[in-house]
This record gives sequence, structure tokens and C-alpha cells, in this order.
Amino acid sequence: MKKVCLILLLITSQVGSIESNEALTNQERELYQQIIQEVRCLVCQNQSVGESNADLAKDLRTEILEQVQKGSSEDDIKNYLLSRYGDFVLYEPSFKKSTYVLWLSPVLIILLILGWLRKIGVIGK
Amino acid sequence: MAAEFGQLFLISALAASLMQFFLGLNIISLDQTNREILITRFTSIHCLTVFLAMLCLGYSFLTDDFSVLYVALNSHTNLPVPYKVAALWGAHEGSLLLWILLLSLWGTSLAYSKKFFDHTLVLKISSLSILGLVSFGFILFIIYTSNPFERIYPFPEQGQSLNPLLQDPALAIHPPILYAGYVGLAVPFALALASLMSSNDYHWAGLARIWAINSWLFLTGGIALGSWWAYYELGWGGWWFWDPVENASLMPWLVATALVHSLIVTEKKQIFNGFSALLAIIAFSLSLLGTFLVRSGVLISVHSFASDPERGLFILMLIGFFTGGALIIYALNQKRSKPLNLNLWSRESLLLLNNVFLCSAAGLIMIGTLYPLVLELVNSEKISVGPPYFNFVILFPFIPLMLFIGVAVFSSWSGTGKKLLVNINRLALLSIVMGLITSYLILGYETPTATLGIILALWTIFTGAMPVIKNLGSQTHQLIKNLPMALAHIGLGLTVLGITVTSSYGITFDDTLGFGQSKQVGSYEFKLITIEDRAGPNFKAKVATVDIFSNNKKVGTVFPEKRTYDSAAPSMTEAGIDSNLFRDLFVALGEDLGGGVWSMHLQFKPLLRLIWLGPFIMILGGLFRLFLLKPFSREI
Repeated sequence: MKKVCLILLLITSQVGSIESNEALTNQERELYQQIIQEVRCLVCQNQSVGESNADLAKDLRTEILEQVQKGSSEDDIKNYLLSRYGDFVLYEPSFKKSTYVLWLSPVLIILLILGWLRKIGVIGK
Repeated sequence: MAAEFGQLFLISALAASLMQFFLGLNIISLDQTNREILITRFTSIHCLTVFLAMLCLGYSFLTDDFSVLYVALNSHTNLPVPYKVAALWGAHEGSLLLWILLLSLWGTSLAYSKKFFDHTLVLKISSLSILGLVSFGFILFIIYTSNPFERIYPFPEQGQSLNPLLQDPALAIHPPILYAGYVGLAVPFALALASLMSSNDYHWAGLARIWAINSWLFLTGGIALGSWWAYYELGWGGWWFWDPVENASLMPWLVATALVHSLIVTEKKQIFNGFSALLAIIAFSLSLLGTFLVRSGVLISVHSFASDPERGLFILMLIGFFTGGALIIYALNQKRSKPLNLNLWSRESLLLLNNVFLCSAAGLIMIGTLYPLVLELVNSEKISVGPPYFNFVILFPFIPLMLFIGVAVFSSWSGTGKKLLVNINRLALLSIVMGLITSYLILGYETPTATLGIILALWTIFTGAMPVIKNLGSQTHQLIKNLPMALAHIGLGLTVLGITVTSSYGITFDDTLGFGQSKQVGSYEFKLITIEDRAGPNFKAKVATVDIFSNNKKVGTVFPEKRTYDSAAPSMTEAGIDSNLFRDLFVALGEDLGGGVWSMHLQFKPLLRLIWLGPFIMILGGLFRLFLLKPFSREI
């Protein structure tokens, strides 16, 4: 199905009527541009699908574009990608047991700083 | 023959660096004068032999000696000569040789520095000895795992050429500049350890400051250059990807910035001696970590190319040895400091606070960079940590940091902050009003972070400039005293302004364009005129002509290119960019969809240039400090 869509896209492009961003509202376009920057191209070396020329990246872009056009929300699209490709596909790691430390690290560091400043007596006395 | 000579020079360098190390130890009985003379000579011999080894490798490149494996892998008879030179450090083996060359150059600059006097001579001898040991470790690493002089037989007729991504003027000079920054941090590291092991007082701080500022300058330049290159060469108009390799250079920069500030306090007030020493150790350790991340191949990243694990283990051992050893020396010699009883609003505390924020920023970046690696190792779980994470967590240390920068400028040494509020309230008000006007009336409200970013950037610029403006009428000495600080802070403010505005108000379009068609991006209209063929020295290219209009008036024409190199690598995009101080218009060619229709990447990026103008001004500030205001301290 993906392949078919891509071929369709190419054909329609060839005849000049562009079935790409044209039909999008500004909001949809922003969403599309944002999501393709946050989705990892799985076969590239650390590039988002928005930056890559790889075939997989093109497929994913088409996929995301279609979903945006269908009116799916950001969460819908991301959840769909997650269920299909796993955690690795999103540049924003999800908040779960194994990423607690990662996501809480800013807070932990701030607490550490405050504790240390208290200890050396710069604040709190 | 050149390669064999290179090999010999490398082995001589190994011996010289080992001598340099031993001469600093007490097991060799020598009086101090002779010890100094000898260690200085061996430092120069060490530097000279590494340089000669580099020359030998260069000769192999220029004579297209493809029997040398490294040359065969990274050069080609039709590679333009400047890139044959750049190919010297274009891959793993050569870049490590460059690493050592720069390290030995910094060592030589220390050996011949006129800033040492009788009572600091012991610092000089011990730090040169430590630098000798660092060099020894890395030369050993080169010889055992990454020898650039290795021969192959039978040798190929033709080389595989330099990675096309690297065939670019900015990237040709990027590694030497960035590496000079990385390894320059070895000097404050060595001075800190030398001080900890001997007098353990503040004398090292003034000396370390010189090399800390030097390294900081090179790191700033190297990072900015890398970002600029990524912007126009990687083809998608991004200027920072939070790629592990970029993070590897940003972490030492953040800690080096903290180090430069902490050394001011140690030099002037003779406090925070231990903290400054710790920063010097961490800064160089992060440089080593960066070398490990980039050179071991543990990362999957746009910049790093596959290597074997043997190398990674060797560098890990080097990191363990130098960082671990340094921390042990630090722990054993750390003096219990007297209670300082500092007021929070004194300049000492504020600088300390901001140094802590800078280090936290480096710490958070390190957590984000290493987390996926560790998780995969421990849990076999693969996750990606990218821009959405870093852009979010970096705000935690950076918002208070930017807030306190301006306050610190107006604070006084050992002050209590009584007059502080009176002094800063006007500038604070001015920044808030101007920031609100800019973000609501001129640009249009976007997000609270954008508004806050603009206000904080203006605040940093105003408070940085104020001490100079106030002294405009006074004598030259008074006027230039604050100039380095002012330039550095203004530079930072401009960078933050550029980053905030361009990421909040920039517009990106990925779209298709046919000949004669045009597309509206913001208030600009991009029109594709033609696409023609062009042949370069070692590539073929498609060159598009795109006219850009604003209000039906032509404002520029850009020529984005798509190149296919003879070495059969995937094609490269050369973006077409029309830029001025206020905005960048960016066009990158995508795919040929047939029938004269191409997919294209179009961007409008307001104030993008400030992101690189900022570092440039910061560098000016650093240069002023080094060359305009001498000497650092009468005491050193």
C-alpha cells in the first residue's frame, strides 16, 4: 500500500498537479514539518526523516503526510509510528520506567545544586 | 620511503614524550635548572618529531602513494591539492596524529612561555611531565591500533578519495580548530594537577587562564564553524542537530566557559582553588570523552564512521587512567576549605552559581548523549534521544544562567547586593519592555519560551554593554578593561536571540516545483527558473536557478546544486542561500521527479546569522583579553 501511494504521488507530481503540501492548511503544514523533524530515519546515521533522502525516509514522509491530511492528531501519528517501529523511531523518548532517570535528571540536578549551595553556606543560612 | 620515515619519527616521538614524562619525576636526580632545560628540549624534540611524521604523511598524500593504506582510503589522483592536505586529518588515523601534533604544540608553547618565574618553575616542570604522559598514551594508541603509515600489498592503482561531505573549505579547517580547543584543555588540566601535587595554592590559576581562554577561543570557533558547515552542506538547513558528535564538542565548551570564569575568582580572590582545579580536570576529561565518542565508533551518527572495538577499549582505558588518576590526585590533595561566608549576591557567589549552571548544562547533555548507549548495553532497549529532549532540558540550567549573567556583571566582589537592585532595575525594565515589544508587536506572539528567550537575550546584551558604555568618557584603560567581558556577553546574547527567533519564527516548506512555477514562503516567493548541468573537477552537478521575490520585487537569485562525485558516493546537496543580517532564504534541491518537476526544501529563517555572529564577537572578546590586556596578574 505504501509503495502504491508513493508511486501515485510520483505520477501525480509528474503531470504537474502537485499532490503534496498544496492541499494542507497552514496548521497541518506546520504539524507535518514538525513531525518529520522528530521522527528518526531508521536506516540512516542519526538523521530525521525530514533530513534524509533514503527510500524509507521518503516512505515515512508520505505516510505522515497522508495521516496529517486525514486529520490525525500529533499523538495519533506518533502512537501509530511507535506501535509499528518501536521507541527508536521517535527522537522524543517516551516517559516510562526505563527513562525515569533521563526525564527527571533536570530536576535532580537542580535539587543537587540547591543542596550543595546550602551545604557550602551560600544560601539558606 | 616517506611512510617508513614517518613511522620512525612517530617512534622517536614516543621515546621523546616518555623522556619528557620521566624528566619531571623526582626519581631522576637533577637540579631544577638542568631539569627545566632538559624537559624543555625534550618537549620541543617531541613536537618536532610529530610534526615531521605529519610531513611524511603529507608527502605520501601529495605523491599519491596508494601503497599507504590511509592514503589509498582517503585520496585520489584527481582530488584537488588543498583537499589532499585536508585528507591528512579526514579520517581516524590522521586525525589522531593531528590531535597529538596540536597537543605537543600546546606543550611547546607552555615550555617556552615567559610567564614562569622561580617560584612557579616546579609547576612548569610537573605540568610538562604530565603533558608528556598524555602524549605518550595517545602515540601508543596510534602505533598499536591506528597507524596511518601502514602499507598494503598489492597496492591499488587508484585511491578511494576523500568523503565528499568533507570536501569543503569550512570542514577542511574545522578539525584543526576544534582539536586545538580540545587538546588545549590539556594544559589547564596539567597545571591543575601539577599545582595539586606541589604547592596546592592559587599560583597556577593565572597561568591556566591563558591556555583556558586560548582553548575556549578555538572551541568556540570550531563549534561555530561546524554548525555553519552543517547548515549549508548537509542540505536541510539545520544548524544544530544535537548529534552526539556535536554534543561531544559542546560539553567541553560549557565546562571551559565555567573554567575561564572560575579561574578569574581563583586568581583575583584566591578562593575556589579546588573548584577551579576540578573544572580543569572535568574539562579535559570531557575532551577525552569526546574523542572516545567520535573515534571509537560507539555512536550511530552522521559524523562518525565505523571503526573496530579495539580502538574504543584503548581510548576507554586512557580515559580511565587520566580521569581516574586526576580525580584520585584531586581527592588526596583537596584541602578542607575555610567557611567562606559569602553573600549570595556577591560576585564570587554569582560566578560560582553560574559555573554550576554551566556544568549542569554539560551534565544534562552528557546524560542525554550517553543514556541510549547505556540503556542498550544494560537492557538491550533501543531508544532515541534527540532535539525534543535536549531543547527542553537545556532550559532548566540556561534560564537561570542567563538571568544571573546580567546580575553578576553589576555585582561587586564580596558585595552584599544592597545596591544591586538599584543598579539593575532600569536595564531589567528596558529588557522586558523591549522584549515584549519585539515579541508581541514586531514578530507576533508565538510561545512563552520565545518571549522569555528574547527578553533574556536582550538582558544579557544590555548588561554586557553597560560597563563599557558607562566608561565611554573615561580613559582608555578604564574603557577597555571591561571590553572582553562585554564582547563575550553581547556575543552570547546575540546567539541566544538568533536561536530563539529563528526557531520560533522560521518557516520551512518541503514541496515540489516545476520550471516557471513559484511558491510562497512567508512573505517571500520562490520561483524555479532552470536546472542545468555542470561539471566540477571530480563531480557532476545539477544546478538550479531560483529567483526570490518579495512584494513582486526580486530580492535575490540562488543556485542550489546537487552533486554526484566520481567516487560513487551518494549525491550531495549544496544549498543555495541568500542571506543578510536579518534573514536567510534557503533552497536545497531534492529529487528529480521527472517532467521538469523537482522536490525542494525552502526555508525562511529570520536572524539566523546572529547564531554565528555571536561566537565571532565572543572570539573577539577572548582575543582582546589575550592581546590587549597584559599581563594577567603581576604575581604569576
